[in-house]
This record gives sequence, C-alpha cells and structure tokens, in this order.
Amino acid sequence: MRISDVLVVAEHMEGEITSQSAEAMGIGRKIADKLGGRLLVVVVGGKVELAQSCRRKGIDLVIHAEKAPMAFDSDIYCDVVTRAIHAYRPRLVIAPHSVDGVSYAPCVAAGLGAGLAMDVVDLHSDGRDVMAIRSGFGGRVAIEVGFPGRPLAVVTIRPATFEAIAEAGDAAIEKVEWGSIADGGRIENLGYVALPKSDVDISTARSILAIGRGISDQALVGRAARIAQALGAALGCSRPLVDAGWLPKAHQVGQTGTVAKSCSLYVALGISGAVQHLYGMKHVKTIFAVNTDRNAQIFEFAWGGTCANIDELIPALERQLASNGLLRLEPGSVGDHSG
Amino acid sequence: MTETRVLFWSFDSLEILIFYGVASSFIALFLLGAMLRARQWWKGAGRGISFSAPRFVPIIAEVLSHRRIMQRDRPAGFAHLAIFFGFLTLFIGTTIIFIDYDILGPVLGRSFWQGKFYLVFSLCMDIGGVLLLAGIVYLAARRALGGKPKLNYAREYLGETRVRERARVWRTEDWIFLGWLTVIVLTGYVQEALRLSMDPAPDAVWSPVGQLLSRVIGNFELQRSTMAVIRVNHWWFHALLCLSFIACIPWFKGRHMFTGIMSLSLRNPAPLKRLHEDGGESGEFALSRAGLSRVGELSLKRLIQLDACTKCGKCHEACPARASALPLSPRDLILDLRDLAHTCVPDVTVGTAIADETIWSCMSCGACQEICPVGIEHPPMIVDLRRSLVEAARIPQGIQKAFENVATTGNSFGFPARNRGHWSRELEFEIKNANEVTVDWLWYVGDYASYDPRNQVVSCTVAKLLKAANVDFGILHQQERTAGNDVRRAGEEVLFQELRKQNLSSLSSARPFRNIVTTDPHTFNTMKNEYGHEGKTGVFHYSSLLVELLESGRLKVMKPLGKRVTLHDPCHLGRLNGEYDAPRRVLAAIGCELIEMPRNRDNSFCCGAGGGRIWSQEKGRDERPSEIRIHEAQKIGKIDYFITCCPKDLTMFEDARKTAGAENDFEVKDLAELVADAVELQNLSMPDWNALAQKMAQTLSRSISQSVGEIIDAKLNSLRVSAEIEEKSVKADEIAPRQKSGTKGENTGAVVSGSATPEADPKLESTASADVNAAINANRVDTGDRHREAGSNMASEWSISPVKPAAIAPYEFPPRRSRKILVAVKRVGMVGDDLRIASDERSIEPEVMDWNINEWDETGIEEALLKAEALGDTEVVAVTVGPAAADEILRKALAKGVDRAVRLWSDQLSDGDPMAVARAIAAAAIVEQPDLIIAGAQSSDLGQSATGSVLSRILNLPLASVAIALCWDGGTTIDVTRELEGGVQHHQRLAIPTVVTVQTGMNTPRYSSLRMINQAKSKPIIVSEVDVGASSLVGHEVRKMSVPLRRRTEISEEPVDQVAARIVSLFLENR
Repeated sequence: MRISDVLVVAEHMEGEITSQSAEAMGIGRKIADKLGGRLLVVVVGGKVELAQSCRRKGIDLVIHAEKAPMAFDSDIYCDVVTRAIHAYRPRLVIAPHSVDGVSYAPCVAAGLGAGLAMDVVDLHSDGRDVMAIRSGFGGRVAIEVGFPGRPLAVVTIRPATFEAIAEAGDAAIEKVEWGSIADGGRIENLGYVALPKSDVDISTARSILAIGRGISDQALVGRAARIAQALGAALGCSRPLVDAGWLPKAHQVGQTGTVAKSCSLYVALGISGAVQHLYGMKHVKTIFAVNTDRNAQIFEFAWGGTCANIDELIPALERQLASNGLLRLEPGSVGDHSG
Repeated sequence: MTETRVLFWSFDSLEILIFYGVASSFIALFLLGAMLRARQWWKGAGRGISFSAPRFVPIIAEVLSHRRIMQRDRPAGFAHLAIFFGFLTLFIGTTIIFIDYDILGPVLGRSFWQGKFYLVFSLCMDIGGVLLLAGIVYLAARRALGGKPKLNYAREYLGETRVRERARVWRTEDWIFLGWLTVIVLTGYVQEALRLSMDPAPDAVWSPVGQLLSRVIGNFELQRSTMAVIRVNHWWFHALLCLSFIACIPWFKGRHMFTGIMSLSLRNPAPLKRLHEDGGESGEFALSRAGLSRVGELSLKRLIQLDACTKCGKCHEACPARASALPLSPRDLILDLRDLAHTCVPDVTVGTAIADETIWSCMSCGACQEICPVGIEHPPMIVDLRRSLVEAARIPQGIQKAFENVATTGNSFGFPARNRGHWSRELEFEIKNANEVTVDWLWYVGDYASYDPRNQVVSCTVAKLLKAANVDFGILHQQERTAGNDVRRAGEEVLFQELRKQNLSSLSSARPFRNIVTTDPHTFNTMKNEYGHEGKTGVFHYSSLLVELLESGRLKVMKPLGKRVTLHDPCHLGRLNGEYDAPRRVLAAIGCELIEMPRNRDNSFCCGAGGGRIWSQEKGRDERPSEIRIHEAQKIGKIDYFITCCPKDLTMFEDARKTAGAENDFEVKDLAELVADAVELQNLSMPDWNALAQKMAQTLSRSISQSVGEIIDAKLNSLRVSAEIEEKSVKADEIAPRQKSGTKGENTGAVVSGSATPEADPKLESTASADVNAAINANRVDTGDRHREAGSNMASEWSISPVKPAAIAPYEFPPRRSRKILVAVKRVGMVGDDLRIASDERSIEPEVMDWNINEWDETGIEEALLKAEALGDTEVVAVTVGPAAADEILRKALAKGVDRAVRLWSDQLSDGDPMAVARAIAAAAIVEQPDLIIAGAQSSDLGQSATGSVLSRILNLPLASVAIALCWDGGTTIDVTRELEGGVQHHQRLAIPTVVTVQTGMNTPRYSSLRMINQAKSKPIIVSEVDVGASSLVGHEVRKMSVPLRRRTEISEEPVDQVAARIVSLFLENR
C-alpha cells in the first residue's frame, strides 16, 4: 500500500473553522489528487457542529478530537496531530501558517523527524514526491524545496494564497479520544481577549488610507488622520506604527491586525508590504502604493504606484485637499504637538 | 598752591586706620570669594590643563572692540562700551590714587597726583562716570521697557508664560547689578560736589559734573558744619558701596569682568568644526568616561565658561531650536548647568536639571557659540552631554536607527553599501572609479547626495558639469562611507572614529588623487578639519570648484540667467569654515542678482538638519527652522530661486517651501542646477561613445541571455525534477531503516555538560523519542485494530526518528546564578537591488548580502535583559548558530548587556534550516539548563518561524509562540500574552522551564553604542564545534533559488503634488 494521503489541520476561532484552514483544505485536495490519496482533516476540540462544518467537498474523512479543549494548547495540538499521523500515515500534513500553526506544526515535524517547510506559497507533487515553494528575503527570492528521504512532510501554508473549499461535502466523521486536557498539563489557558472596540473599523471601511514605516515623524500621523477623515477614508497602518505606539491597534491592517474585508480602495503610503500586512489587504481591488524603495514588495500587489517620500507627500495631500476645499490648512504646523 | 585734593578730609589717624582696616577686609573677602571659585574650577582641572597659550592680541582686540557685543545689537554694544570704558577709567583712576598715596607717597615722600595731571585726571574721572551712567541708563531703560525677547527669562519655547522662581532671582540680580553701579557713580559725584561746595576751587571746571552738582547743593544753603557731617558720612557711604561691590564680584554677575576674559582666553579656536576626542583632549574632560553626565565631570574650562555667562541672551536669540520652540535655549542650558555646577556635588547628574529632549534638540549649527561675547562653547558641551546619553542608550528612535544603519551599511538610510554609486547609472557616461584609476579630483559624494532621490538629480548635474569642464574626477563607490560629521555631533564618538578609520583607509587605498571635492558641507567640514590630513590633501566644497571653473572659463556661461535669487549659507560651510564668498561668486558669474536675506553669512539661520536632527525631526511647538527660514525669504519680496549648496538644505527647504506655503513664490534649487542652466549644459555633448556602446551591448546581452536561460531552465527542470524524484525515493528506502535503528532510548544528543553545572538533576534532556513512543502506545490503545493493521503494513516505509540535539564540544562557564535565560539569536542577510543567485542555484551570492542581527531576536534580547534586570541575579546567555562572521551580532548582544555569548558551528551545518539550528541550540540548552528560552518569532530573511517551536519539541518543553508580553516573577510559572490573528490576545500560563517566541514591538531594543560593542570585544565568545553526526537532519533540502519574474505595477516618478492629486481623485471616485 502506498502512502498517499494528505492530512489537513483545521484550526478554529470562536467556534468557526478559520478561512486559512479552508485554504489548507483546498490545496490539500489538489495534492491528494496528484498523489492519488485521500484528504483527511483533523479538528482539535470543539463541538460536533464544528466537525460537521469541516465536511466539505472533496474531503474524505474528518477526524474529530472532541475531548480536546477549545482553547489552543500547543502540546495538545501537537499530540493530537501526531497521533492522527500514526493512525493514518499520511504523506503530507498541511497546517495554516497561522500564529497557532507556527506553534505546533514544527513540533509535530520534529517529534517525527519529518520534513518541514514553513510559510509555503506553492505546493506541487508529481504523484510520488512533494515539492514546496517558499519565499525569502521579503519576497525577493523564490526557494524551491523538497523532502528527499522523508516519508512524511509537514508544511504550513501562507494565508490568503490558496483557494479555499467552501462547498459542503459528505465526509464521514470519526471521533477520537485524544487530546483531553489531562495530557496537556504544562500549559494553562487564561483566556482570550478580543481587540477593544474602537472608532475606526478597518473591516467595514470601503476606502482606506494606510501609513507605514516610511513615515518618519510622529506628528505626521495626526496629519495623515486628518487627511483620511477629509477623504472619507479609514486610517490604516502597518505593524511598526502600532509597535512604536503611534497608533492604536485598531488601525493595524494585516494578519495580527484587521483584514480590510469590505475595502475597494487601499492607498498604502510608506508600506513595504510584509506578508503579514499583505494578508490584510492584497485582495483589495484598487491598491495604490507610494514608497521610496522601488523594490518594495507592495508594488507587486498594487494596481498603481509611485516612488515618493511620504514626509513630502503628506503636506502635498493637505494642499490638494485644501485647494478642493476639503481641508482647512492650519498655518505652519498641522496636527498634534506630541513631538 | 598746586591743584590736588585732600584724600581723608578731616579724618584723624584712627579713622584712617579704621578705613584701611575696613577696606582690607573687603578686599580680603573678594580674594576669598575668588579663591573659592578658583578652587572649584581647579577641581575640574584635576586631570591637567594644557590649553594652548592664550592669543593675547586677539583677546584684547575682542575685549576692546566689543565686536561680538556690538554684533546684531549695536545700541547695546555701544552702551556696554560706555560702561566698560567708564568703569575702566574709574578703576584706573582709583588705582592711580592708590599708587600715588599708598606706595609712592610713603616711599618717596612725593606725589604726582597734582597740578595739570590732577586736573586732567579729574576731568577723565568725571567723563568716565558720565559714560558709565549713560550706558547703564540706556540698558536699564531697555530692560524696564521690555520688548527684548532675549532678555525675557520666561521660557516661552517651553510654553511657559510666567517667569519661574529661579529666573526671578536672576532678574533681581540684574537689577541689583545695574542699580549698585548707578548708586556708586552718583554718590561719587555727590561727594565731589560736597567737596567743591565746602572748598570752592578755581579749577572746579575740570570737574564739570561735580561743579554742576555743587551749585545745586549751594541752593540748599546748608550750614557749613551740617555740610561737614554730611560730607564725612557720605564719604563712608560711598566707600562702603564701592568696597562691598568689590567683595561681591565673585558671587554675582559682576564676576564676568574677570571670567569673561578668562573664558575668552580659554576658547578653542575651532570648537565645533573640530570636536574634541572622546575622553581625550586635555582640559575638556575631567574623566575618561564618555561624555558629561555628572557635575564632577565638568572641566576647569567648562566651569569658567559657565561662570562667564552674563545672560545677555544673544545665543537664545540666535538658536534655531529655540526659535521653533523645541525644548532648548542655549542660554538656559548654560544657566541650568551653572546652577548644577554651583551645587559643588560631584555626583549630581546632569539629568536632574536638564531633560534629554533638551540635549537632543541641538542642531549643531554653531550660532550660539559664534555670537557669545564671552566665548562660551555651547555645542561642544552639548556633544559631551550627548555622548553620555549615547552611552546610557537614551537616544531618540530616529537617531538610534541612523546609528545602527551607519554601523551596518555605512549610510544613515540603511541602504545597501553597494548601491552607493548607483545614482551615477542615470548618466550617459561612466564616472571613473577612483579605486581603480588615478584622478585629479576625488569626489566624496556623501549620504544624501548618493541616496536621496532629489539630491541624486543634483549629483548627476554636478557630474555633468565636471565632465563638461573636462575635470578629471572619480568616486569611491562603496568604498565611501558617510564621513561621520553628524554621527559625531550626535554623540556617537566611537562610531565616528571607526568611520574615520575606515574612510581614511579607503582614501589611502584608492589610486593616487590630488584633491578631494565634496558636495556636502557636513562631509566637507569633517574631512577638512577632523580627518587629520589637513595640509596634505586639499578638501574643497564644490562651490569653490565651480567658481574656479566659471572664472577660468572652463565652464562658459552661455546665457546669463538674470534671475533674482537668495542664498542660504550652510552652517557647516559658512559659519564653521568661513566660506561665504564662493557661492556668491558663482551666482555673480552666472548673472544672478543676489538679494540677501536679513540673516546671512555668519548670521545664517540653520535649516534644522544638523547635529543628527535630520534623523529625528520631532517638531517643536512652533514652526520648523526651515519653515521660519522660508518665510524670511518670502519677506524679501519677489525672488525666483532660493539657492542652497548643501544636500540636507535642499531636502529640508524643498519640504519647507511646501509646508510653509511658498510654492507659488519661488523654487528651491541647488547652486549646480543654476550653473547647469547658465552654461546650457543640455547642449553640451559629453558622452564617451565607447563606454555608452559598451553599456548598451552589455545590457542587451544580459537580457537576452536571461530570457533564453529561463526558457532552457524551465525545459530542463521539467525533465530533471521527475528524474530526481525517482532517484530520491530509492534513497529514501535505503535511509529509512538505518535511521530507525539509531533511535530507541538512546540519548545520543549533547553528551557533554558544562564543567561547572552545579545542577544535580538536569531539567532538560532529549525526551522527544520517549514521548513519541508513548504516543504510539497510547495510539494503539485508543484506536482500533484497523490502525494497528495499517501500521504494520507500512513498517517498511515508515520510520520514526525524532529530531535530537546535536553533540557539541564541551565548554566552561561560570557557576549558575538564581536564574538563567537563554536567548537564541540569528544573523540575517539582507539583499539590495543587485541581488544575484549563486551559480549553484541554491544560495545567494554572498557579496551582495548585508548582514545584521534579526529584528525579532533583538526584541528577544531586550526582553531577556528587562526580565534579568527586574529579577536580579539572573544570567542572560545569547546563543547563535553560524560561522565566525556571526560573532558580530553576539558582540552586539554582549554590548547590550548579555552576560555570555555562545556560537555553535560546523561547516556541515546550514544556518538557514530551523531543524539543524534548533538541534544545535538544544545541545547548548542541555549544557546550560536555562529556566527560560527566548527565540524570535521569525527571522527577517527566511521567515520560517519554526526554530523556537522545534527547539521546544526537542527539549520536550512547553511552548508559547508569538508572545507580545511576558510576565515572570522568577517563579515556577510564566504568564504569556500571545497575539493572534485579528489582534486577539491569548493569555497562557506555562510551567518553567519553557520556550517562548517573541514578536517585535513588545519592547524597544536598546542601543548598543560602538564603544560598548568595542568593549564587548574583551568579553569572550564561546565557540563550540557542532558534531552533526550521522543524522544530519534538516527540515528540507533547497533545490533551487530563483528571482521570480515579478508582476509589478508601473512605478511612476512624478512631482508629489501630482501624486497627491491622483490619490485624492481616487478617493473621491470611490466615495
């Protein structure tokens, strides 16, 4: 018998399978087809409904560790996935490259001496072997990797890169007893805290003006906020600005921020386009990027772009808006005095 | 009867004796005060004072001419001149009487204080008094009427509206000083008048003021006896006023009569343009520690300078930081420092009175020291203060980033060093590489002119001008690093020294050249004055070269421009190096009418970029200096161009022209751009066709070979991949059983333990295999027969071989402290736009890589240090897996405060594979037995995000990944906040020992100054050889690296205003 199955780990948040997991199922089905194997999905914790929602088209079996806790515990995920591997002997394990995925997937691979490739942007198979494409140096280099001599490979896939499976299917659900809390005593869950409510909502905004590391002066942040307001746009930002304490978390667009779900115009000022940021906005129809670095990755996802300095552009935007009567120019200094 | 007067009228010998007694004691008080002051100064001397012999002539000229007091405030200058000469006259007069009466009289029994001499003497004294009085009245009136912001002690730049308590004391002191002098002069006249009233003299006309007053007294018709009583008592009153004034001199404003001159004598002839070395130049520093952070570190010279300040406010008025309401006024800085110094407590830190922001606000423009009448050197003092802040890592973010960039890439932007000469690619000819060929002029381009897009345009223009004028010139490309002028002025002295060393070595290894020309006045200043090759190699600013080319006719003006322009003198060219004429001569030569701004030449007003401020442009409470300057230019009326000859000026004023709303008034241009217009550069042919043809051919062939190569590659690959897979799968079958045989229970990992590990029962060991076996057993129980069956069926293909620690060579380390944190760090590569894949197609050409410490790991180091500092008795050990070159990042970690550093390496190892790296680090962890292991959540180059997780598995430790907060009291558990998708926070509590991976932004990594990095060189880095053994396990094998053909949008280059218009219309359409 050939080892040809693909096992996908379906992660969940607030009782729902994450979109990234659905994407893992999508590419999982494709590879399983190439290998001529089955597509198995393992769900750690959660109610029956959760396992049922994994019964999507193209999935052969849903393995549900229903005794496992809802809250994420790296030990338990690692244990359940490892047991599933021992039980079903897949050729390939696919997990989302999520914050939880980067936690347990490498552990699974290390525990089994399996092949491992993280944050994979493409997966291929010739029917026997699996090859993955990774991306390095801020997207500048494509790295093709293989797992010679490994009967098993574990990969995590880059979010928002592969097509998801949404349609329902008729897979069987197999309940397993693994992963009860007693096995995971080293990590205690103290709870989840959602992002505090804010007057800015990136997820519902139709147009977003986003600023990033290219902005050199904190005072410009306040000015950008006024510009965004005048334009009727939400002010978004990339992670470094939140890290620097220049803007609250609610403004952050990206994987650990908010996804710009309803956005149709995204203007990125001084944002180079790290994958985590792209995750939150690369789907937007019209992306216009401004950056001083012509090699910035953001330009690969933009509809239009220009090479300019943000520190100069912000005053220019103010002037433009002032000439349109949308903004009142304050003499000399605009914005806060927090410098 | 000869004309003279009686000195002690009506005094008997006892009274005279009393006077001498009183006078002596007051003078003794003065001497005592002077001595106490001097003693404090002398403490600051300590480590030897070897200031160069004062240049008396210039000092005397300075004092007598009142040049600086006159500057920019002539009325005050004249008033002070009157006071000065009036006081001097009266002082000399008193001295003459002393000599005549107390020395010559008793010794020779004769007196020269009579006759004609006496009459002239009397007249002089009367005039002196009038001068003194007139000066005081003018200055007092000015002070009383207000309106002079420089005399206002309210710190408006801090938003203060009322004068603070301390400054009210200063104000009182000012008035006492003026009042006291006034009363002394007035009582002198009254005394004279009383004398003349009682003993009318025919020669009273020689004492005009006294005579006038005596007539007034005459009107009172007093009794002679009454008048005698008044005369004697008033005499005592006047005498005591004078004597007590003298006694008080060391204690108040009056001391500037002495300290001012002393301070001028000690002045460094080139205080800012040539900064003193760190802890070096004698007389500048009290201690060998970096900079100035405590009162005890003030040197003799500094103490005297502080005591010389008269609060005249000229520096306050000139300072661009103060003008834009940043929290700095040089006057208040000096006065606050003086108050600190007068505490005389050596351990009082400067920080108790002076905020860091104040120290970082200085733009090193030198305007304050240039105008200071008593020769105080504010900027070098500020640089000293900054040096200590750099040492303490209290640095504004922007400046810290610039330091780090300069240290790693040689430029403040952090662009790859290799790209330094890329701006010249826009030219149709090739600039000579001065590393390879001999040139007359070595063009030292500088950071902004090399990397900043607006300035690159200017650099190209300058290159074309030089080419058109047939100048033989070349550049150093990546052998050039930033010259370090601003790095030095921002206080990172050791980095500056390093830059100087590197640049001097680049210059000496370049092919021979005659002179250095630079487009950047900052570079010009430091190369000319601080590189120590003064006299050997000429260093020129390009404005001087342009003058020569234009005036000698090598550049011919075809079209005199006839434009009205104004010129901004760069601080580093003009004020610091006295070059005011070259740019003006250029403007004259190209037919421009120069309209000067009110503040020009030595009074030029800084653009705000100097002293590192360009890297950290926090705004003040008011307009930026550049905006203030643009308004100044607007006020002079219709001009066409605002001319700069400094890349930083161009950057600042291009921006300010827009923000200050002068876009319709004039354009900001570089001097060279106007010259290009005037010589009609666009019509001059200059390409060397050879080079051009070559370049075109090269480009063509490269693109052909690339596209053909890609097609061939694709074809070959599709064939090769399938062949390879066949081969590999055969191998897999061979390897699998062997791997299996080496597994069970056998602990091949890290058999070595540190010789000084007191831990009897190591907590960490490789337990992954046992764990997995347990899992298998459990599996058999849990799942049905079907699985067991499946398992047996696949035994031939399946193998379980958990990843185990590598073996490392033993090493020694100090006894264990209460806690230990192990931080995993990685040296990451960065690529620029010249990225090339190596010929093996599996790696990147190493010479196009720049290296740095991984940002996430820097966060990890900071977190470990913060925890160690909070908990105490905690050792922080940094460990990396990498070749010898990775020592660099360990040194950085050591400089930050990490206790020890370990580097693990084997040539067979890959530093890019998380499995391989984690195996090695696990081995070190087993040796070290840490309580907490911190790793970055990802690396910035390959971004696998797996090392920390694999490590936890190998060591069988709990794991929390992507933490944004750690809370650990040193006990048996640690609370971790993880950040999930959508900003959701997940709180967990883990049992110690544990592994945590950290996200950036959880802290601000501290700066490790180059001095600390150098000092860290003495801390040893433990290097341990890794034995990868038979199972050189990696997570994957890199088959091919390639630069993907990237779909990218067309990137336009257009003026910002057009960009702004496009953006606004996009938003309006999307509404």
